[in-house]
Amino acid sequence: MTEIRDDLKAYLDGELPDARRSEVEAALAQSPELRAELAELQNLGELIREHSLQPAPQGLEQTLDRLQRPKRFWQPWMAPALGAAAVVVLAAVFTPGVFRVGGASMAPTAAPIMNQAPARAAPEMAAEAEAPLASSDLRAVDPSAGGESLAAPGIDTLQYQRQIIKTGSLRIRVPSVKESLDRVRVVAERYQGFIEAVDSQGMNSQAMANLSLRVASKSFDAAMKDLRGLGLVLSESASGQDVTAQMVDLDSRLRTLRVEEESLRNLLRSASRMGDIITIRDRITQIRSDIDAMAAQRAQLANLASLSTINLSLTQGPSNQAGPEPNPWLGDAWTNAVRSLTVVVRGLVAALTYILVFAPLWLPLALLAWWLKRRSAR
Amino acid sequence: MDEIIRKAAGGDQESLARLVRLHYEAVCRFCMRRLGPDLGQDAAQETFVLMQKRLPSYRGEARFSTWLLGIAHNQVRATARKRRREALPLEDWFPAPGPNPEEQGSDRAALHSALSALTSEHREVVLMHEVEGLTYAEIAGIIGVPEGTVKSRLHHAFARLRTAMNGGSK
Repeated sequence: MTEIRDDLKAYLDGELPDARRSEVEAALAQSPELRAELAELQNLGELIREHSLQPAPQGLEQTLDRLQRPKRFWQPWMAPALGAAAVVVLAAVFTPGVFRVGGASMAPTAAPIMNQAPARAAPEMAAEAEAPLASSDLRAVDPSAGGESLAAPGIDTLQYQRQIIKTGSLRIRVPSVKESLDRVRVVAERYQGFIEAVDSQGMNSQAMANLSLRVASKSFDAAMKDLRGLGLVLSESASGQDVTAQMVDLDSRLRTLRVEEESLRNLLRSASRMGDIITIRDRITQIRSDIDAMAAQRAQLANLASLSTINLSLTQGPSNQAGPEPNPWLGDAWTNAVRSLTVVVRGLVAALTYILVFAPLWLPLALLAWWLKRRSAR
Repeated sequence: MDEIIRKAAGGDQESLARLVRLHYEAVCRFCMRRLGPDLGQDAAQETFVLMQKRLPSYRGEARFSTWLLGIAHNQVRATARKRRREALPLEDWFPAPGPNPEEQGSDRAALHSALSALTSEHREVVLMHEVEGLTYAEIAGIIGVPEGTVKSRLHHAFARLRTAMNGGSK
């Protein structure tokens, strides 16, 4: 009977499956007590419905209004985002250092020295390139040829690859000079170079060697880096001399002289008077020797520029602390990482400082945005 | 009906308005019975704002009205929590009788005191089934419990109401 009673309410609500409903109906037919209970439940339900409130809905129009209002362009999250963007832009505009410091300090150590040299040489180079060509003696030689050669230099300077004579010097204390000499040879070969001169003295602990090493210019930095790995670096220097302007100058003067030589030879062919022939020959000889001297100078410059020179001084000594690093790349990675971290931290601190200093500008805006958001949420 | 929902989800303002008009009364009453007229109206509005946002993700697993009342149910609970309001106060849907002796001795007074003695869980299913006319399945879907739980809660709630009423009148 208890089980049937549990389902009476569901039976009343029409929520019982067919089979169960039949069972309940059968039980009801037999039990007046259950029928009375069912009636009571029904009365209760009716009583609740009769006395419960039917609130009158309001606010339909406002709701429709709110839903159909076009989405506001301005979103509360935009205030801090815009503020942060403004701070970053301001920081970038007013402290170029904050961002540039990173680039410079992350470059390899030798690079700044090398990079500065051509930068300094550039204006001088431009001046030098123009001056000799603009001089009147060149133009006087042959108006037609002169015109041609005058038109050329501007373009030439652009077309010329930068020619830089790089020179480096290193003083290194190594565990064994003899072994190091072999390693230097390997380094030289690796970078398409050679040992130009060796001067070694002494034996064993007193041994020392001075070398002049030539390596391909483009591999200068790499070679310096490899050589540093030989032992403890006592001193180091590197310099670069931009000879592009000099070469451009030499080339154009050579061209002019050749043109002059050619025209003198033509003149010689048509000359008939002995006096003229001798004068012209003298002039040709003079020009030829000038050409040869200049060509030699140019070849030397090109040689110096294509192969850079490293003056290496090796001394033997205890290098228990500063022997060749077992893992130079790991050391480099560590140094670079630490340096980068410093730069990033510096940048962050700078940015934070800006945010803080600019608080009077963005804080009221942010507070206003927050307040508006609170108000609209209410 | 499905067509309206699809169009409204696609951003058609007219369909959205029709959908709101169709369901506003039910949702608004639902919220007002639980939060009173002012807060209830606000909650109803919020419910429709949420509905608009979530329409694209409505897949038709539940009847639309059940789905919508589910949102309203959550909205009501959030508002009550925020306002530190009692859950489902009786006065908003079953007001206390007046102070005169006639009313005090009536069935309504006895029912009021019996209803107020119920737990809020029991009171909720009574309200939803008897007053709002929702089926067991709909109630289960809205409050997120199995249908069997709804059935048993309703049975126990009515058993308590009967006992209280009989005890009170005898």
